[in-house]
Amino acid sequence: MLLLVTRSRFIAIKARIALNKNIRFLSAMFMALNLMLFTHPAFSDESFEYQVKAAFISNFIAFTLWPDEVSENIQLCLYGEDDFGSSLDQIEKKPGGKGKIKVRRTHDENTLTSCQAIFIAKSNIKHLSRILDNLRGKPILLLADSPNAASQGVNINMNVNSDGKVTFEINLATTRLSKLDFSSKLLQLATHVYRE
Amino acid sequence: MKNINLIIIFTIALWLLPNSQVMSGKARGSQFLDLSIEELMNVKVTTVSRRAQKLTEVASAVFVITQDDIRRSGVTNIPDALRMAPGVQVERSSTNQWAVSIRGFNGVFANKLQVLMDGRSVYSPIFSGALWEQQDTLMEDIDRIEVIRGPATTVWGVNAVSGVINIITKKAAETQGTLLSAGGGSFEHGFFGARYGGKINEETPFRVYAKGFTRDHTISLDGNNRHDQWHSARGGFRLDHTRGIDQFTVQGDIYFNSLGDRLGGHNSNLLPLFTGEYRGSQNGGDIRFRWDRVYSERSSMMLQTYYDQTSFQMAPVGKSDTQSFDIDFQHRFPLFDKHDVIWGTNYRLYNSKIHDTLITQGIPRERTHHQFSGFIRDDITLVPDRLLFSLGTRLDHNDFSGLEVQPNARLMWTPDLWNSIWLSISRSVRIPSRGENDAVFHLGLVQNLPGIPTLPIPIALVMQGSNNFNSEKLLAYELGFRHQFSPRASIDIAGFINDYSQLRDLSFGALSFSTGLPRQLILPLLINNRASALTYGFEFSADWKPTNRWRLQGNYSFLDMSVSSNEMLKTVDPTTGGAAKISPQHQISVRSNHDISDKLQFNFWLRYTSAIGFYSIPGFVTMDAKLAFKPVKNVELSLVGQNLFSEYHREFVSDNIPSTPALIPRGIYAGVRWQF
Repeated sequence: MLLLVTRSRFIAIKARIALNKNIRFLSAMFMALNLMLFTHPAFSDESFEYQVKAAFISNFIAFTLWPDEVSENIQLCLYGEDDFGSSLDQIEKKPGGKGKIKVRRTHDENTLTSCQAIFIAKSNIKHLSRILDNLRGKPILLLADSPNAASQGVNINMNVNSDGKVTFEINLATTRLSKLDFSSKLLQLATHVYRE
Repeated sequence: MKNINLIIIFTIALWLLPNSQVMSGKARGSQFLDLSIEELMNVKVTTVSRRAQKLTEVASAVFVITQDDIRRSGVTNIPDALRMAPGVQVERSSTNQWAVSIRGFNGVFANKLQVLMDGRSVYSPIFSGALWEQQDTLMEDIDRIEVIRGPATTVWGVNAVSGVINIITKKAAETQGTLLSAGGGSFEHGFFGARYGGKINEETPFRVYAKGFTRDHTISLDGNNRHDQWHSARGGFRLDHTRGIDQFTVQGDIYFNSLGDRLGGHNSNLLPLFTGEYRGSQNGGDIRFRWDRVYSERSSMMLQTYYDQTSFQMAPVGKSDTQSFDIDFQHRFPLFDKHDVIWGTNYRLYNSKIHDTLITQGIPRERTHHQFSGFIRDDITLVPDRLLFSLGTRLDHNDFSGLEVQPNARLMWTPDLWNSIWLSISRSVRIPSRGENDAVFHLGLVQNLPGIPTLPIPIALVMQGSNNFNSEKLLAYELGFRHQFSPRASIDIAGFINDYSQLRDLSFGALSFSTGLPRQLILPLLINNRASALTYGFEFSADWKPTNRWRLQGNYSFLDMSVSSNEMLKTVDPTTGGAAKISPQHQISVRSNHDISDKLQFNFWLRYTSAIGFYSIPGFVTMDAKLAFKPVKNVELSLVGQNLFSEYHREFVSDNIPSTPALIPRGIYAGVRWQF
C-alpha cells in the first residue's frame, strides 16, 4: 500500500515536470503570436464602419438598373460631411460593372441634379424633404445611413443592427417613381421593403 | 505559472506601445470592395453588442458548427458533426454508439459534459452522460451547434465540467414550406426526412417533422456480423408565438430506436460473462415550453420547463426507464452603467428505474432525486469596449453530494476589433450519478490481473456503487486568443490546464464466495474518490476564405493527461485509471468547402486522430467528401463518401460493456433534397 502511495506521488511529480516543459513551449508560441500580431497592420476603428458602408454603396450601384437614357457612367455624389475618407474613392477603382463610377463631394444642393447616385450624409439629412421635392421623378439613386430615411423616401438606407452588422432597407415605391429598378437579390437581402 | 504571467505582461506591454504600426484604414479600405453583399452583411462594424453575448466574443473557448457546415459535410447524425469542433473527441464504437467528450476522459459513458438540445439537458441521470444514439432531429432543422470547451457550470449547470454542447434548432419561422429528403447507400442503408412549416397566423408559425433511417451492422475484428444494424423513427413539432415583447415556444419529439450489439469482451484481462448477439430497443419523448420576455438589448427574462422520458432495454446489458422534469428561470438586467447581471434558478427532478439484468442491477431499483440550483454572474465593463471582467458563481444542491459551489472569473480584453485575449479561472464539479450511488455492475471474470493470483475457480469482478461517493472536482485555468486578419481570415487559440481532484477511482473489496451456482469467487470493485489528474493542452483553429466561393477551416488539438489512480486497475478501468491512454493526444481536421459553380459544390474533410493506447487502436487518417449538384434552385442531388481512406478502421470500444470491438466501414450514399 505504501509503495502504491509513493508511486502515485512520483507520477504526479513527473506530470508536473512534464507540464512545466510544455508551458515553456506554450509561452514561446504565444510570444511568437504576439510578435506576428503586432507586425501585422490593423485597421483604425473610426473609419471602419464607413469602409464597410462604402463597399455596400458599391454593391447598391451594381445592383441598380437605371433607365436606358441615363449614361452608363455613374456620378456618385457625397452630399454633406465626409465620413468615408478615401474608402469612397476606392469604389472608382473597383473593376466590373458596365460603366465607370466617379465620386464627387459637394455641399451645394443645386448641383445634385447632375448626379446619378447621391449619398446624403447624416449632416445633411435634415434637408431630406427638400431634396426629395427637388429630385422627384428623376432617375437618381438616393442613399443614406440615417434612421427612418427609407420610410421617408430615400431609396436605400443603411442601419447598424444590434449585432453590430450593417443592414439596409429599400423604398421600392419611390424607386419605381424614379424609374429605377433593383435586382431581386437586393430586395431579398433588404431587412424591409416599403412598397407604397 | 510564472511564465504565463510573463506572457500576459509582454502582451499588455506590446498593446500599450504607441500605435505606430497600426496603419490607418485608408491604405486597406478597398479590401471590403472584394466582398459580396452577403459577406458584407456579416461584417461587424461596432462592438456595442458585446453584451448581447455573441459567442465569438465571449471569454471562453467556443466553436460554432453551422447548418451550412453540417449540410456541406454530409454527416447524417449529430455526434459525427461534432468532429468538426476542435478539442472534442468523437469516436464511434459501433453503428449506434459514440463516445464524445471535450478535453479528455472520453468514453461511451463519458460523464463530464453538458449536452443540451434546445435548452433541454439530455444527459442520463443514471451515468451523467448523453446516450448519443438518442440525440437526433432532422439535420436540416439544426440552426447551429455551439461547442463550449472548458468549464461552463456557472450558467450551464452542473456537469458542464469539461464543456457544453448546445444543439439549437431553427425557429419555426425559419422552417416554412415543405422539405423532403431521402437517400441511401452502403452503410447508410436508407433514410428519409420530411418537414412541413406553416403559420396559424403571422405571429404563430409552426413546423412538424418526421424522419427515419436504417443503418448497416458493423463487423467485429474477426469478420463476424455484430448484429448492430440500427433502425430509427422520430417525429416532432415546434410552435412559436410572438406577442409584443413576449415570445413563446412549445416543442416536442418522440422517437423509437431498434439496435443491437455483439457481446464477447474486448479486454484481455477480463473474460465476459456473456457472449453472443442481442437486440434491444429505446424509445422516448420530450415536451418543452419556453417563454422569453425581452425588455431591451440588455434586459430580458426567460422561463422554461420541460419533461423528458426515455426507456432503454438491451438484455442482458441493461434495462432502464428515466424521467426528468426541469424548470428554469433566468433574468438579465443592467446595473448602474457598467454592470450586466444575469441570475437564475433551476429545479430538476429525476425519476429512474434500473431493472435487474444479468449485468446491471440497481439497489434500490427505483429512485427519485432532486437538484436545486441558483447562479449569478456580473459582467463588469472596466473599460468600455476594451476590458470586460466577469465574475459569477453557482450554488447547487443535489441528493448525493449535497451543496456544491462553482465560482468562475473571466477577463476579456479587446484592444481593437481584430484582437481579443481572455483568461479564466473556474472551479466546477461533476456530481455523482445515480449509477455510482446505486448500481451493481458485473464486469466479467478476472483472467490475469496484475497482482491477483490465478486460481482454479473463476473470480468475478463486480463494480458496486457507493453512497459515500462524492463529487469530482476541477480547477481549470484557461487562456485564449482570437485574431482576425481580415473579414476573410481569422484564428483562434485556447490553452488550458485542468487540475482534477477526487476523481472516481476503484479499489478492491473483500473477496467472497458467491451464494448461487456456479460457485465462483466475487471480487468487488468499490467506487471511491481517490484519483486525481492533471491535464493540459491547447486547440488551434483557423478559418480562411481564399475566394468568395471557397472556404477552408482547419484545427489542431493537443491533449496531455496524467492520471494518478489505483495502479492495479489501470488496465481495466477506462473511466479514470486508463483515461490518459483513452483520448487521442493529437487531432487534426481540415475542411474545404468549394462552390465550383452556382450549381455544383465539392466539399471534403480530412481528419487525423492519433492512437488510443488503452484499446490498442492505431492512429488513422480518413476523409469524407460530398459532391452536390443543384439542377434547379430548390433541389439538391448529392453523393457522399465517408471514411474514404480505408475499407474498415477502428475508432473505439464501448467502455465497461463487454461488446466485441467493431470495425467502422467506408460508406457511400446518394441523397436528394427538395424544398418548396
